Amino acid sequence: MRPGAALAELASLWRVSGRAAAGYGEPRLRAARRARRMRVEGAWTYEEALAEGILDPALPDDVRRRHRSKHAREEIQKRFGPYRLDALTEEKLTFYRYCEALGIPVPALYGTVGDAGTWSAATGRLARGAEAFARLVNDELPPAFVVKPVDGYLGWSVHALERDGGLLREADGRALSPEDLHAELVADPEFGLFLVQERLYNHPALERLRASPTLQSLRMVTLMGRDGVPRLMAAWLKVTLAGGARDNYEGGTSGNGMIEIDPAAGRMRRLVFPREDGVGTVQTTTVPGTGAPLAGEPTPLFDDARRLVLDAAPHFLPIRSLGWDVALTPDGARLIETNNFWGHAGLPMNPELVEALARP
Amino acid sequence: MRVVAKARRAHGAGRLRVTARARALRVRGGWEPADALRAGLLDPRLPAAEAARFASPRAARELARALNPEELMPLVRDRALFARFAPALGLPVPRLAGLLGRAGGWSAVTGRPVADRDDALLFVAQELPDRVVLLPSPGRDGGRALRREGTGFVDVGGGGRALSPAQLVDELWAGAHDLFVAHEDPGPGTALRVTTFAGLGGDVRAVHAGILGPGGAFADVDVDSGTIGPARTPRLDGAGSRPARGLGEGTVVARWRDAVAVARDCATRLLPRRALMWDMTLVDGRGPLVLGADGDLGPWPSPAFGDALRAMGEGA
Repeated sequence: MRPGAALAELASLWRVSGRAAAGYGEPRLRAARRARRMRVEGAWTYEEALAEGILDPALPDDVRRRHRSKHAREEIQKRFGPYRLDALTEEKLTFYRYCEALGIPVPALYGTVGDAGTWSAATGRLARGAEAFARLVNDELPPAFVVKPVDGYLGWSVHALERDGGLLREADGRALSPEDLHAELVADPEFGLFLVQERLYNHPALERLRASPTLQSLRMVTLMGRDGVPRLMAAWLKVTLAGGARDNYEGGTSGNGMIEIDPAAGRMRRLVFPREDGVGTVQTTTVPGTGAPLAGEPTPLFDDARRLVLDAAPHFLPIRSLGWDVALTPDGARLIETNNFWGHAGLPMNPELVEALARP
Repeated sequence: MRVVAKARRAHGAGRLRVTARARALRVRGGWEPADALRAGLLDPRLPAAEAARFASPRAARELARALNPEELMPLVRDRALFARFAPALGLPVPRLAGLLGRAGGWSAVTGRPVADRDDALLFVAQELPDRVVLLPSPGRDGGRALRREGTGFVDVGGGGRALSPAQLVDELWAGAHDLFVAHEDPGPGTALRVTTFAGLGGDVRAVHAGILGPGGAFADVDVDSGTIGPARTPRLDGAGSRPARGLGEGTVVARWRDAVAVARDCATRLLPRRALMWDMTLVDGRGPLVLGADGDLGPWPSPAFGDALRAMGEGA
């Protein structure tokens, strides 16, 4: 390691051990030793370990060992298929058209927009400029729709829109014209092409947990057995505690939470969300605000969602390990996306998943 | 300098003229000297105006970039992705046997993963069709045609060499490519390359076509009539091509209308990618089959292709 990198590493350890010591009320040296051990044994970055909650001295060792760092997780995931094929899951136009063709329920595709112009899926027409995009919006699109990057991730640059007079209203209430939206899209510093697709809404039962205009999706992790039979290994419901247009947990940095679900029974276990000080997580079995119980509650449309991902998984072979995002809507379960490098931050893996991942 | 020397030897031309031609092609057409040599453009006897009609690989790539969003390119670069996607959309492709690779594969026959070497041996020994083509993915390299014989295979293109399943797997594993598409060998047929272009109205049309023959022989095909033009074949010294026979000059490609219709239909399904080059085969008794799509508009060494590319650029 170069001296500069070693110094940065040391500074990170100093910062994180200080925050962990303050957060958990233990001596800094002990917190630093634990963080160092996690770094060496599990390839955790210090900040990642802090947010994950595995520096909590009260956490039993057997639970701590079932958490996986991003690096360790991705190394395992690479062993479950040629990850180079990830465009089938990560390039979303191909993904949605593939799913549509296979009869897998996904949001309807309306077109694309980007530097290269606007394309209408209904007419096949291509056109350039903000006016062309405005024509698509005004003449062809329903009152609500979503615009998101074709190669996006973590919900970045997703626009959930509703028509409001001649304007479009974002999930955060901001109003803008189609031409302004077009200008924002083509100026996006990271993404060059966006999908325009159907906007989905939450199933009414999810409103009981968290009333939110933002779609709160169900994450389901499947592993394909050597026998060609897919199995549901883990599930959690994303909860938009932070507001905004995204439901992603992002290692605890987004402010959102998730409800762990028993993958066999489809019943909720507990809600996990980041502590305000960023030191680990809060875990509760009641809904914040209402106090309604969570533990043991059935997850709406869980069986539909499970059937959907288990039916879809064989179509993505040879990728054998997938993390699916399923929307639970008033019209049933709909697949939003799938990832071969799925995250699992904030929660320990269940023992069955740990064991299955150890034997690719 | 080696390129200039080769061109001088091949074309019997002076250093100055060859160098001047190479420089002009580089400045005006984006030609790398080695590519220009391969296309035969460093021959000073070829009129400069004619040489300027050819499209350099760089010009083709740049046009492809302007017409095909980069985000959507994996599907039309990676054969394994295309092999998974195309049958689902009902594109007419050869029957897929599966994907085979070091990092894992899949048998289309059983629907099971081919997770390791033991699975791969079983897949090769029991599930590959009797005549199979293995194509590296990604890549443009040619396929490897195999014929089942006894408990093993004969490498049809490799001089008839016999291979056991274990030898085949070991050879594939030891190579530079880590994933292969295995599909049935549709048998001898006419190999076509059709370039399609989608106009702003969403209308897709074939703008160039060519036919391929043994030994790298090629000829343009008139896209309106399907009539095969004069054939050429690569020179042994790698400096361009020379006239050839045997591709049916003056005749019309059988089922030409069907081939164009299939290419247009496939291109429509891959919108908003606007410019694609389709590898197709026409086999007796079967409709046109699509072997792959190239979103980078791989080079085709004829002035007609260059003309087509320029027309696409103007219609963009």
